[in-house]
Amino acid sequence: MSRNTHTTRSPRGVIPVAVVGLLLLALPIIAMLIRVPWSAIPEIVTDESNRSALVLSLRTSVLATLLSVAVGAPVAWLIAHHTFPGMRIIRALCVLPMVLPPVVGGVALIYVLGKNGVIGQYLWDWFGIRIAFTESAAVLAQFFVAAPYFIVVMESAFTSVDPALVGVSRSLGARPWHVLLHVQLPLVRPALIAGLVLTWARALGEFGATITFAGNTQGRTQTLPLAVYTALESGRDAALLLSVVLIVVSFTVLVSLRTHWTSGVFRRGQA
Amino acid sequence: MTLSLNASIVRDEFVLRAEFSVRNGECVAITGANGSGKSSLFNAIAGLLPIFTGNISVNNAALVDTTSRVWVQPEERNIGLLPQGGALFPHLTSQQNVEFGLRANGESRTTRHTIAHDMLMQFGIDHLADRYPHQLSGGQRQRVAIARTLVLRPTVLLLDEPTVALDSHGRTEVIEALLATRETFAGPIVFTSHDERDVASLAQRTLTISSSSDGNEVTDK
Repeated sequence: MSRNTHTTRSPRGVIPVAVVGLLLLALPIIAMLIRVPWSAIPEIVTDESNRSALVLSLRTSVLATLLSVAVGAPVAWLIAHHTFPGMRIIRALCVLPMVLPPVVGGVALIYVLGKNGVIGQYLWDWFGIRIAFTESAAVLAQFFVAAPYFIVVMESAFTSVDPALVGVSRSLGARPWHVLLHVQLPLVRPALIAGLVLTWARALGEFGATITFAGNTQGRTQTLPLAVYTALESGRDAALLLSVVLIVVSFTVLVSLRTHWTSGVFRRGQA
Repeated sequence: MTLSLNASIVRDEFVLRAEFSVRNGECVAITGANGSGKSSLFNAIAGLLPIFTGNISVNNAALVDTTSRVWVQPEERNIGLLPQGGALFPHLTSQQNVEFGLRANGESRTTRHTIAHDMLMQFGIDHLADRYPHQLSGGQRQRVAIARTLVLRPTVLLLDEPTVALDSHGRTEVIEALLATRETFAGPIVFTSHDERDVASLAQRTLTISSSSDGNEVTDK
């Protein structure tokens, strides 16, 4: 959709306020970049604990995103297509982690999967499996906080697909799986990509639930945001540089995904 | 072949009682005010909307019957449905749109291609095979949609407002395509329209949905 600059004239005052808004968002990042001790880069980038934090962050955030897609898409499907008693409550529960302080999410996860948790105690007693304070816990903490973003985006995407297209597919002999794979998923692809990016970004930046439920063990559960926090206590330079690493990684992925994957011939065209 | 209805359709807050039959090779127009339930009637025949009571059958085989609890899934009915506006898949080319039903029914790539291409040729739009719906005119889109509807050789053809929102050129194209279809299609054809010209040029019989305080009704009794 091209923006028509001839017919759209901004109401007076909107642009100055927009500039202030952009400055508020950009200044902290710019200030940080100004103060980065660039000479310390080799030392900090080659530091083993920092590298392992980066690798761990990438691995856990990708796993949390995959888990969000695997179980979040069916949830989005369910609330988009079916009506049943208590649906409002279920929908509210799905988005609750978005408004909850992540620390609370971490505490909640301890009560489910901690060693004495509702499920965790049986996992420990029967199978000897411990989840809290492991890498799996970091993945689950990120999933808990990030999956709602995917669900919300996908629910609205599924709802936006014209029911007539689904109806005509079925009358042409397509079973529900065929309709999903060949009509609904292709049509929601832009939203799917946007949801993936948003979910992954949220998972990568996750702090509160992770430190509560997975702890801050270097090399095992210390993701990049936790490493930044830890570095802040010892020296600000390291924290600054790690933050820059986090920014560069996020920014690169956001920009490349948005420009390459969401462009498609049918994004513009509506029948 | 006969399409036969004796059914009550309930949707939100309206009731539509339908009791009529359409014979093999017959082309029947259904007229009625906006919101009188024309689209719901078609959706009920295609299996996209459950009926409240009664039955709908094709050639004496029930598609749905609330007494004997018969319910045939929409994908098993082989009803040719042309929804209002055509409802072409925006992410597929004309060729792929026409092939869709064949693909869903597991036809091989070559068979699909041949049948769909013949179908597009029949409607004079084979040169548009690689275009997407948004690159077509209204009349072209509607002809692709008609071709897509016919590709599985349905038993019944349902056309919901086939010429609505078309300019006069597009309308002529579509009417010609439908007249040609009427000559070759063996089963019953039912279409809805607001346009008296469509009714005059296509229909052999007209049924009107009447409204009363206790619901809408369309009947040939």
